[in-house]
Amino acid sequence: MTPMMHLRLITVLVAVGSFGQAQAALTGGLPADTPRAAWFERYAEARQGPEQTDRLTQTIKVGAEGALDLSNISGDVRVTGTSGSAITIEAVKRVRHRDADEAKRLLQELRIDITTVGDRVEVRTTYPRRNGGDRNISARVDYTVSVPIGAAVAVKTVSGDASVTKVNGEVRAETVSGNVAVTGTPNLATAKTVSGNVTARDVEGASTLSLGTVSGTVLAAGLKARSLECGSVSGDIQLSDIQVERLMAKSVSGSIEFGATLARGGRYDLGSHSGDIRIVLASQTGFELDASTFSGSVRSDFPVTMRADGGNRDRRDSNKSIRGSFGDASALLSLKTFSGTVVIARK
Amino acid sequence: MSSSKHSGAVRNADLDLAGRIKSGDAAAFEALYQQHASRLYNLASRMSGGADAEDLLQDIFLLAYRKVGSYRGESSLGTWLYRLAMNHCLDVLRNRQTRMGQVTDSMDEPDAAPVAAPGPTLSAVSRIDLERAIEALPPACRAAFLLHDVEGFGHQEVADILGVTEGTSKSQVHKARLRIRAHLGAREYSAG
Amino acid sequence: MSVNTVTCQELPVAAYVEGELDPAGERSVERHLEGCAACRGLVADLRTVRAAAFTLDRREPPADLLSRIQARIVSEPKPAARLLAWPNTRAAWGTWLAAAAALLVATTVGIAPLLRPSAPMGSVPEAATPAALVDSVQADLEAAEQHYDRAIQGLEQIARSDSSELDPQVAAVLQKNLQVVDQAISESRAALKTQPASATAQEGLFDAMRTKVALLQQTVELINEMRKGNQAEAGRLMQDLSR
Repeated sequence: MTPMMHLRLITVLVAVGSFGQAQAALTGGLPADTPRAAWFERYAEARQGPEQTDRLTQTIKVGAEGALDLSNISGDVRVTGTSGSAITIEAVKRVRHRDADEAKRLLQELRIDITTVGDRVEVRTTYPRRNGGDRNISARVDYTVSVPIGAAVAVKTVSGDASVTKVNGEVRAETVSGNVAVTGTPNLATAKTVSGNVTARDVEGASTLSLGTVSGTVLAAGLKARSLECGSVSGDIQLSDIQVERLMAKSVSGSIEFGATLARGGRYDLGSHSGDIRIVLASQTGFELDASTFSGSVRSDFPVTMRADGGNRDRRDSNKSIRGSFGDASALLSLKTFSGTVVIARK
Repeated sequence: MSSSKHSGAVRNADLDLAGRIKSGDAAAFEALYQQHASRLYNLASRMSGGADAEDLLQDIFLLAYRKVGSYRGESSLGTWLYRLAMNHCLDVLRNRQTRMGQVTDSMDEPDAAPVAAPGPTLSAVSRIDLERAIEALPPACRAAFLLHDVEGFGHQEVADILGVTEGTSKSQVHKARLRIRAHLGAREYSAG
Repeated sequence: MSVNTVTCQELPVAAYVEGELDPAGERSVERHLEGCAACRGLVADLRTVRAAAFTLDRREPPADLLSRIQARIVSEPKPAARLLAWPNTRAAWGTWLAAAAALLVATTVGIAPLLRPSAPMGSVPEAATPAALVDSVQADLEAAEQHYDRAIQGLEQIARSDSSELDPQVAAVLQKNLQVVDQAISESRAALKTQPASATAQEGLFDAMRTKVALLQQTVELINEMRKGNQAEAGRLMQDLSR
């Protein structure tokens, strides 16, 4: 490890670093048309110099399917499926530096490497090396890519938003600080972020679909898959119009809302610590229910035949848990919270 | 399993991934790992009683790497991997039990479990109690129970993974539940 | 005696529990259950077991397991394969692996290794008074808690010492969310003190601890990825300098 690495002296899990230094690091993700964005532009220009940009466009023929594997660091990535058999990549490099020559050099060194192996296109953003630990650069690449509608897409960025629309092959979209939005993809595998929201609309998954964030919300509207896993730590989970055979939805302080048709024999495991859990069922599928809270309450619109409680080891108030079955009990519902409420409602 | 709309695309994706792993593509291997490691770890851990879970998981993925060349797409890549994993776990568990002089069971054994004696009905089952009860299950029905009731596979999938009929999967899972009930009931009963 | 009466032996319990019978079959079973407490108890218990199995602890493999597997593959006698595609894992991960290796035991949060050998089935445990039973469950819980605690401490150590790899804003988000989880843990602990036998409080505690381990593992993986990026850059730097 070179001395350059150790210049980052902020130990952040112990104390949050100063915001000024944070700005010099990877920034981005503000929508361009807000007053705050305009302020930020002027601020950035004063601190870091004017923005220099460079645009690159490349088209690669891949056949009706093909695959895109894109890895970015700072900047947004937007991918859309279109007709045709080529992958078209438009990349805008943006660099700021007080010294115009230095900025130009950095712009050149901010590399976009595109490699094609068969019908698979790999795109990598590589950052310029820091000159003597210079912290006054801000560099990003924003990608807009169109791919054949049957292509598979895997995109990753660290600081920026990722979105994928109308692509039929397998889709994986990840970022760390930014939002992920996936729309109209029948073969979604993963959409994740750390500090941002995950939105999935009109999607399907071939097997297990995974939606995750740490501090943001997970929103899925119109989703069909064998199995869905979604999680947040401090954000809410909102699932509507869902058709899955297996579900695991967990949050710690966020609430969970689940509107669905249960599958026969399906298993649905929803849990939060302090958030509320509310499930709205449109179906008459029978279920086995295990709903509990420690300090909240539980309510069900469905008539549940309570399981005989054989022992008294675990005396609990009757409004803190419901364990029993409705109908033929073929599906399994586990709804657990610690201090929230649980509601099982009819649509 | 997967709907017919997807099965063609999924099969191709499976064959493609297998091919890339075979030719040494690290990203492809990592993708397979990320997709299945967690569930396989849970299976291996409860099949072996927790102690060797990491070693077992390593073995499983090494075996997968070595054998991926023989995957032809007859089943999904996931099923192929789980089959490989469960066979390995069963072998290890049976070897250990034979060494320790315990009688082991086979998957084809007719359902010899006695009709469960009526006992006190169970109250809410704590996870610890259940883990202990699973530990006491003989290998074959433990495998079926873990796959079906814990990991959530359907009976047909369990059958595909374990190489038995769907009927055998159902009877093994039922046998496991009866044994667990008996194990938990004995504990409760003795508590007075 | 009606021909429709099903005996206990003949009762299709397994199929009934999984909701697989047709309506006529279900009615026939229900008629039997109406008059048979033993089978009612059996059906209820089987459903309890099935439901409980579904929500067992989800265990996670340690974050570095993939690297260890890759390291072993790299050292295998190779088939006709492009081993150059594999990262040079050992050189790249040296220090980090050593630290993570120290955590191997700590991050295995399985409960089974902590269990005392159970009595052979059918025998009555000695001195099995209710108090003794509660104590033994208590001891198991404490042991499991300690296990999680060790895993958490180990991961925190790595995360803290290498956190400079992370973007400060991301690190701040992770830190804030770790606090959310910590609060959940302390609430569950407090609840368990007032109601030690509460399954809900127990589950709350273990769910929260598991989430903390997962979050820390995610943090460590992120640090990893940043380091991978930096390593690549460092590599290029070395090449440039030696030109």
